[in-house]
Amino acid sequence: MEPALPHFSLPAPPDGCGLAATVAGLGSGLAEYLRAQRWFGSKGRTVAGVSVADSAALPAEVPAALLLVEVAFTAGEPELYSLPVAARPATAARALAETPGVALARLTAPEQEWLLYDGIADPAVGEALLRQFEDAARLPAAMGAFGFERTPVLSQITDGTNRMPLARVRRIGSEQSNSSVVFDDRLILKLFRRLHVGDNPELEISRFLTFRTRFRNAPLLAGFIRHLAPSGERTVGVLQTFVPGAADGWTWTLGALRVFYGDVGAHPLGRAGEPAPAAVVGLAGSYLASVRRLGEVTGELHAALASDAGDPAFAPEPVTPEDLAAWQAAVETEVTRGLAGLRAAGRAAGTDHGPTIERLLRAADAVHARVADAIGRLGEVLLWKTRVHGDYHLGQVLRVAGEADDFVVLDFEGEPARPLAARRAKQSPLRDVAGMLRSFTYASYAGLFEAAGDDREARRLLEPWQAAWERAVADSYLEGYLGATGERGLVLIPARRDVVGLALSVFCLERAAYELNYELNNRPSWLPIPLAALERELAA
Amino acid sequence: MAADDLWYKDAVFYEVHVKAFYDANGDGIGDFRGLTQKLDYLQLLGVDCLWILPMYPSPLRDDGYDIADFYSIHPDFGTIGDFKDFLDEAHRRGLRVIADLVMNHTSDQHPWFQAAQKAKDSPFRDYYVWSDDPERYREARIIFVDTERSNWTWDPVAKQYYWHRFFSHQPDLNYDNPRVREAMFDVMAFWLEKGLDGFRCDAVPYLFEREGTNCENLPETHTFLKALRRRLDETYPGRILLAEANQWPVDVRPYFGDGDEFHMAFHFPLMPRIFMAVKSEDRRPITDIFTHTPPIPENCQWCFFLRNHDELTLEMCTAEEREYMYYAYAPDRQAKLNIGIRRRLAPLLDRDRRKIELLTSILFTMPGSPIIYYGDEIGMGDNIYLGDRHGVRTPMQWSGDENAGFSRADPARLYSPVIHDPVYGYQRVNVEAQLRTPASLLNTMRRLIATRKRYRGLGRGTIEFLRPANHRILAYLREHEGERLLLVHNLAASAQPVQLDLRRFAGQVPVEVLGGARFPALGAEPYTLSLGPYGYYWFHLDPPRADERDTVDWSWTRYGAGTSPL
Repeated sequence: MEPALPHFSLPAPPDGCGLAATVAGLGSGLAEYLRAQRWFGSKGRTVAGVSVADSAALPAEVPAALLLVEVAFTAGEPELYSLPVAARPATAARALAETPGVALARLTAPEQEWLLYDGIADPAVGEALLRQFEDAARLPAAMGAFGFERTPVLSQITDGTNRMPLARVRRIGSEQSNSSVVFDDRLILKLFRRLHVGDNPELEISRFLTFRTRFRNAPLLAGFIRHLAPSGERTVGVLQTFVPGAADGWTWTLGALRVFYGDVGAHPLGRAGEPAPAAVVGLAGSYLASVRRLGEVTGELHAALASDAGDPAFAPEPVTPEDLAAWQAAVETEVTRGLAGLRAAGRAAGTDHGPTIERLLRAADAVHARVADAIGRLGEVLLWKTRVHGDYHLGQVLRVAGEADDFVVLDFEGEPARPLAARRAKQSPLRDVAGMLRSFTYASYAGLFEAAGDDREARRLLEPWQAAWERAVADSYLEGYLGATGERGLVLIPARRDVVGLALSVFCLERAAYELNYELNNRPSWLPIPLAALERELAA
Repeated sequence: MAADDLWYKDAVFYEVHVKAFYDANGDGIGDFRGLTQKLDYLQLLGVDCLWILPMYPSPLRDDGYDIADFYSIHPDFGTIGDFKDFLDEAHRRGLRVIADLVMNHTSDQHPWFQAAQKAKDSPFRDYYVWSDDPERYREARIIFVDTERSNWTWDPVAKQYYWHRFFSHQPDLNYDNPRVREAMFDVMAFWLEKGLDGFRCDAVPYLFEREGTNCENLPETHTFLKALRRRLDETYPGRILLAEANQWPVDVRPYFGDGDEFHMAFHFPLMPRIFMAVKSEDRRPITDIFTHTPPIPENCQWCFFLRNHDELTLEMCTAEEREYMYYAYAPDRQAKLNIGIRRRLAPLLDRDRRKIELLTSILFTMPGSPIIYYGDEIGMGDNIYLGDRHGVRTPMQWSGDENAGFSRADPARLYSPVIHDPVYGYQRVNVEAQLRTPASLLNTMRRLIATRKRYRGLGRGTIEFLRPANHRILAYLREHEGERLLLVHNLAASAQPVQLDLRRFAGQVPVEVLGGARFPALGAEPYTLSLGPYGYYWFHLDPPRADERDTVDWSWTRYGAGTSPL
């Protein structure tokens, strides 16, 4: 139990309509609660005040309400968060009280104590939300309304009836930007926390893929919640089909790497230090086949996202000289920042990447020339920008094991920290590809670190295998990707492999520089990953 | 029953395709947000209730009458929230909305059928009618004779035959299963909760099957429909059910029950006979059909139409009548479809403004509630080369702008090409131009609708046909709670005189309500009128004003000896 839980006295037992006032009355307690949540974005800013911007009672078996809370800061724009709340008698809410980050306050009402908590943690609230989808309800709120929508996909799940028999409602791990509830392993409700005016890209893209394309390697859109108010419409949540029993791509890849590095240790060539590519293919064979499929799925996704030239939100557009200049500026900013960080770190004692850092810093001047040259060459060919995934890596795909390997792509929100307009902006699809390539590299190192531990000799022996695995996986992935795009006539991906390679190296360089900053600040032991990439890109 | 619960007896209905009306999001397909934006227009037109063609998710193999999900809106048309906004905005303007509902069958893509197919022990198996023997119910006719050879189709997945009265991709629901009956009420409650004012129920005669019968209009069907109506009235008073049963009025009559089944039903056979009467310049096709129309309960109402989204159906015609109709109205073979003619009102009437007005006048003054098919109020044309009935479902023509002002999408992206021929093209025929022209068809329609709404007798009154010697004249009296209206139509292309026997109303003054002119008072002799080609009068019989009483000496009629002063 959290000792510092605020206490509040109520003249009568709580009900759904009154919860907003109770939450508003928490004052600084509410601010503290929000700051402790993983999904609260602006931890670095000073909160000036928190208020309840809108609320609607949610018909549920417990008193419950959907709230929007506005967080004002001492400087800058306020932020709006969604917060479903509910209350139960304290005696019936022990488990909720003990779950970290769930309880908001204790309420003393006549006859008994109540616990006020984040409703998303309560299966009864989850069920109530599902029923609102089923009824396509519109819950009147003080300033507007919460509109629930259902699509034909929900009827597919509920066998065409209006009520889905529900056995199990469970919450799954909280994410950076949302909280999720799973219904009977068939549907998942993703409740967005930070809200923006306009359609969330997750809703926009999920709707587009579900109803306007034949792409079926993403969850289907079964419903969504919008807050409707004169100030604008905001996406509060999406209800999608759930893919049960699937491993995320990162976990699956690490599992494959565990086997791979284990087999390498037992392989006669494993001790020699120089892996023969054929040996890599033999050792990583089934993973390579799966990755080719992942490349195809990525390509099919990009083809689907670019399939409607008549829809302004999705129509592919040619990359302009302004876009190229922006790409160049973005890469250079990241690289400059990364190198500056390196320079500072290099002066600090104790890093054992001294020679690499030295080489990189010496090459610093050449970097900008190389980037400018690459952008100049890309400017000579016709490139396209389209809607993309936006935050594509192994953690965003699920591997569905079956007769044939397949993958489901998740999370079309883009990077939650960026503004909505930037997340909806069209980009080169190859930026997604670069994100996935970098993710393979990260996994290959994570597996290596896990296999070798602190044993320097073991690392030295495995490193060539890591490099060979990374290369073989990238080749397979790109083979699948290009097969599903350029070779099937999708003109949006340049037909010339050298142009694809050039664009990928620009995007990978930008990504690696970003990683460099991240690892310098958070995880110095993983610095070799971006360092190796930078060295390779710059040496090329 | 509250007085207003009979609103449908006074209402002018307007039939509209969501996809065809207005495209708000620029994807080439009309949507509910677009329809909402055009509510001001519908209010201006003056209609009272919109009838929305199927709006549900569907594989669209039968233009939406093959429903794949009863609980959402076809994604092309928007969301349930958009629909709710549309209802709220319509209600705010005093407009009501009813929507199509297909009770008899679903699409084979419906989750119920897909579950039923897969397993014999599925709880959904009994939602449909299955048999090992395709010889059952042999006496049921096959409706779509052009495409279907049997009412049974073998399902290779289910390994049984399933029953369907329409297309084989539309399996019939099994109304002997109480869960189906309950499920259908749940569906209706879902939409009524959103605020919908009722349903136009498609294909109602076929809900039940019984061996040894033709499986149409069975007593079980009526029992179920009465139960449905009872539950509707208990929870949603004032909402209505409109039956589509393409049958003779005497066969439709049971669907009104004792005023405890459907509120309304379409009157199918009148429509072709109005066209026949005008072409043959003879009122008898119209007056005869009313001798075959039984009286209906006080709280029920017929629904009349000139044209709708289907072909002008000639099923309720004799072979001879049918041949006459084809000869008169479908000289072009392309215009024929099934047993009917796929044309809009204006092209059927050679774009003769006088005939369009005349037929509209008859429609508006018949004892029932009229339905206007979208676009007919501006005299829109059709495109019989679009296949099936798509030619009468082209985009609404709002203006002379690109895509007729219907959509901002690329023309190639529209669900259907707009009409752009030199006669009916959108540059010529559109709402914007007609609103600016006081004497346009649109403004005349507005005047007719507004006038009809001033006289309750036109919706609720009794009808009595007058039988003048001149067969080219169609004249009748409508009477309701002391309000008496006299309607006179000239079905001929030439001017016609007529003498009407109205002596029993002697002394009353016919006031032509469309123009306001007071005509000479009725007297002791037949009342003489003359009408221009396709001319028509709507008279209200007023008591004489003091000055009119003074000018006429009626004393001679009492004694029978004097000379008429006229």
